[in-house]
Amino acid sequence: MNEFLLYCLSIIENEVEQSKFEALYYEYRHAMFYTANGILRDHGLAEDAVQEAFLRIMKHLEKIDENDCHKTKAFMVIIAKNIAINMYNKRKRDNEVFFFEETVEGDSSYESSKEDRDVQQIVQCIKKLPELYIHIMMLRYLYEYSDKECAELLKLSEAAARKRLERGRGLLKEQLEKEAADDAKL
Amino acid sequence: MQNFELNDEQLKKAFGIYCDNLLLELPRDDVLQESQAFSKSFETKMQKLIQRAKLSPWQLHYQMAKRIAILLLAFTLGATALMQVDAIRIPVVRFFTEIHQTFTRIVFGAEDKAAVLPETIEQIYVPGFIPEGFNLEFELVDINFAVQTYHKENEYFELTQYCTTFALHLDTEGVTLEELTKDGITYSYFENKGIKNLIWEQNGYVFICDGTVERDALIQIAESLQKNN
Repeated sequence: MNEFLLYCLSIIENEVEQSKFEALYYEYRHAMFYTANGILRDHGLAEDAVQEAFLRIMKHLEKIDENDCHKTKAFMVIIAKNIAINMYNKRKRDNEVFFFEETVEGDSSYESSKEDRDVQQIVQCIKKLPELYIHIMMLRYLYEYSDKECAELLKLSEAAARKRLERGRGLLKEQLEKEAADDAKL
Repeated sequence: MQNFELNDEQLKKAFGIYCDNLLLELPRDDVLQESQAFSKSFETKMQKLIQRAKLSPWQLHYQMAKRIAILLLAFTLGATALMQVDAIRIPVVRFFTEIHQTFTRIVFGAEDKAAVLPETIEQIYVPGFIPEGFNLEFELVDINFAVQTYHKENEYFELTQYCTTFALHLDTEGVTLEELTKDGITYSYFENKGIKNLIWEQNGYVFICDGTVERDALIQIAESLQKNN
């Protein structure tokens, strides 16, 4: 009977030979490396960050939609970026006070639409948040990962992921309120 | 101060736009491809990951419905054996080998139907014997496999420990599988394209030691296996 079970399993395995992972690797490794290297400024460490990113992504492939290249590329880049920032901070932690908390203020190439002004306002405020909050919120709200999945992808405990999400959302709300108050003063 | 209530739909749209902006900040893919070169060791590690990804458990999710149907059938027929679980018995792995023209597929399962095999890496094993000049260069522990790669200039050997939830595909085109038994352990050995491979079962896990080192060195490495503390 055991042979029969094994035979059944062998049929199943043969039907799923495709390698989504491989396709993702060849498609996005350069963008991921570019992003990681921009933070770490070290070829070897940037490669490590890319490898670590693929290790984490490996366990969540079923949720990655290969047909939406744009969204997938952003996801891959964000994971690599998050790992690179953590590596950077880890390296600095013992001997320097400075931490990488880059905010991404800058030129927006997105043309604001009148219909969605609220959303545009949120985007501007997102750019003022520390990256680590942006990453987890992106995973949660754009990619719709659960708290547990976010935690796995960012190597956090589930409780820490929840807390970071809550704090990120709170910071975003505060930022929106601050901007609105500033606008009102003008 | 105005009070903002954020809803998930707004956040989804906003992060979508943020995402678009993020990608626009990246150089074009063709420019990146031309300007970047990855190191050989990185490429090697990634190739290994790719190979493993083809076999890893995430694939199970893809055809879940089909699997459930097949497994239910198998379960119905084998229910009696499967339900008798006795954790005290020492599990013995058996190889279920299908030799195809270009590859060998090895599926693992307990010889003793009542045995319980570890489904995750609970204990990592490392070689007690390391040939002279080799150093540990890469180490990876995942849920159901663990790898250690040792290098010495252009030579390498790698020890991979698998849980029996894996099915392996080995490139065995035109090779002969040799079996040898030492101290009660049966090793399967073959050489292919200059790479020597040794496969065996020990303590409920399946081990593969492969590399450019000599056959006897591989066997010595295998025999020296010890728990990593």
